[in-house]
Amino acid sequence: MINGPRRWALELGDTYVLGLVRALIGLFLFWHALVLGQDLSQHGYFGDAFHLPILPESWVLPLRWYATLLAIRVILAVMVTVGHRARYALFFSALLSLYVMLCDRIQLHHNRFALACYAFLLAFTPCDRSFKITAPEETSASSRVGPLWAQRLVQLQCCLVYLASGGAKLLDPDWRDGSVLGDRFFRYGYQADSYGVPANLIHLFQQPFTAGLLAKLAIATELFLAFALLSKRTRIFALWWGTMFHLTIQVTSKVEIFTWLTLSIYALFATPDTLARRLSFDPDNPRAVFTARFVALLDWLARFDIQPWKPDQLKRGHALVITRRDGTHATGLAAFAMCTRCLPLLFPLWAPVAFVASFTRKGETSETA
Amino acid sequence: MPDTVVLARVAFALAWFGVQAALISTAGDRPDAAFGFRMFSESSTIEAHLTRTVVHAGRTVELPVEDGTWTTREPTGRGHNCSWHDRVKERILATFDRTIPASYSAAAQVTRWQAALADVALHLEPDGETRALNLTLTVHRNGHEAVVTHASAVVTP
Repeated sequence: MINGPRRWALELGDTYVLGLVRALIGLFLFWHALVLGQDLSQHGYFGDAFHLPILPESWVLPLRWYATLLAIRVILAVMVTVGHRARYALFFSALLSLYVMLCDRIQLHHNRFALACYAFLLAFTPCDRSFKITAPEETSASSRVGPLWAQRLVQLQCCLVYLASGGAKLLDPDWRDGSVLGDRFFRYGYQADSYGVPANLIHLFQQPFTAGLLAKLAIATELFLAFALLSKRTRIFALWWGTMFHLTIQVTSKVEIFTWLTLSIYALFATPDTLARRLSFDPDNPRAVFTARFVALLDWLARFDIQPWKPDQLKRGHALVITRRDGTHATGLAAFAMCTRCLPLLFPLWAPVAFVASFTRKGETSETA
Repeated sequence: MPDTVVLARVAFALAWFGVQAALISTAGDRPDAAFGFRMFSESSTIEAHLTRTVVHAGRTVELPVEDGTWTTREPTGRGHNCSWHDRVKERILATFDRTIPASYSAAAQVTRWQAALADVALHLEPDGETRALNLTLTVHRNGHEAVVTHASAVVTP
């Protein structure tokens, strides 16, 4: 057996973040089931009206059975979220979601198909070993260690989405020359204007040259993300760039849950361990205590082992000190940069803060733990 | 761990991404590029105009339909309301005489509109005067010149 595939197939790691992502996927599945339920109550059953099935028409369920299917999807989504038989629930959620899309391709949206793909692949991960509301006692650190091969497939699926999207744009002359983006800017410029975007800026974006430049940037971004997310050296920047890319799309377009789905999947690119960095704080300093609690509140990926410390020679004068994976210490601006890197809510700030921090050695200490 | 486990996982991965690669590489063959992850593939618009062909006093004439709804007169003289919306619930396939975004590409929307036209004509109750439904689609693909498509569906008597 070739070494690479064997290493991938047998890799083990902490599945804490997998549990978090599973719970989020459960919420998205729940949302999707509710949207379908709302459609059913407002517009009636699609099967009784015009629809475009990919499956044979006889495979489309009658209304009563469809309503039952939706109820099952809601229950499965709740099971995924709380962690009760979550892997089975993910598997059947994905299949039922795909089935409905195959019954009516009008309901087929990229983000919903992506959700079904992620749910299906997650069903093969040990994502039920953390964030288990029904049995929290079963989520100790040792019991969370599990195989990561399917998590790597989820990562690859995310990259494949970028490759497909970026590749199609690259092959489309209208996308390459900026016609697609330019037309969007032209037609929706009035919306930006109503949000208070300066008219000069809107006008600039509507220029063919600017639209062409931004189109090339968008294509390059998607293709860059497809590969850079897989490399350890480029991953952190790719995650930040991708986050900003998706937040921009979220603000400017209607994409249902796609932004939040992709950002949730981004969490799976975090190193599969927990508490690998230490945040020590001065328990006598109210600001330090507040900061430590703030970090604990936002540390959704369990990156920090947060502990009070007894002042010593190094830490004297500091409210808090972060000890990195490699044992080096960071305080002040460098510590803040570490927090923006590790806390999802602050992550959009990471690149600018890290950039500023790179110009100073302030906050860096040469001593190692 | 036995090699069979490794082989099974490798086979699963190859099968999964083989299917994905096939779906993505053939997405261009489907008007809506279904399963192809082609986000924001176009910036196109579409405007639909509906008319119906009727026979009146032995003459065949084409009457405009406003907002997908029309009234016919039954042989008994009673008015009968017909509506496109009775069959087509999807909002963007039931908006007439107004330019709207052609989500998922112009080709996808043209195909869907034509399928909806055939579906409505098939399910329309015979009213004694409507012979056909006609759809004119004006499509601007990525800001280019308009392309006009006509489609008709015969109403089964």
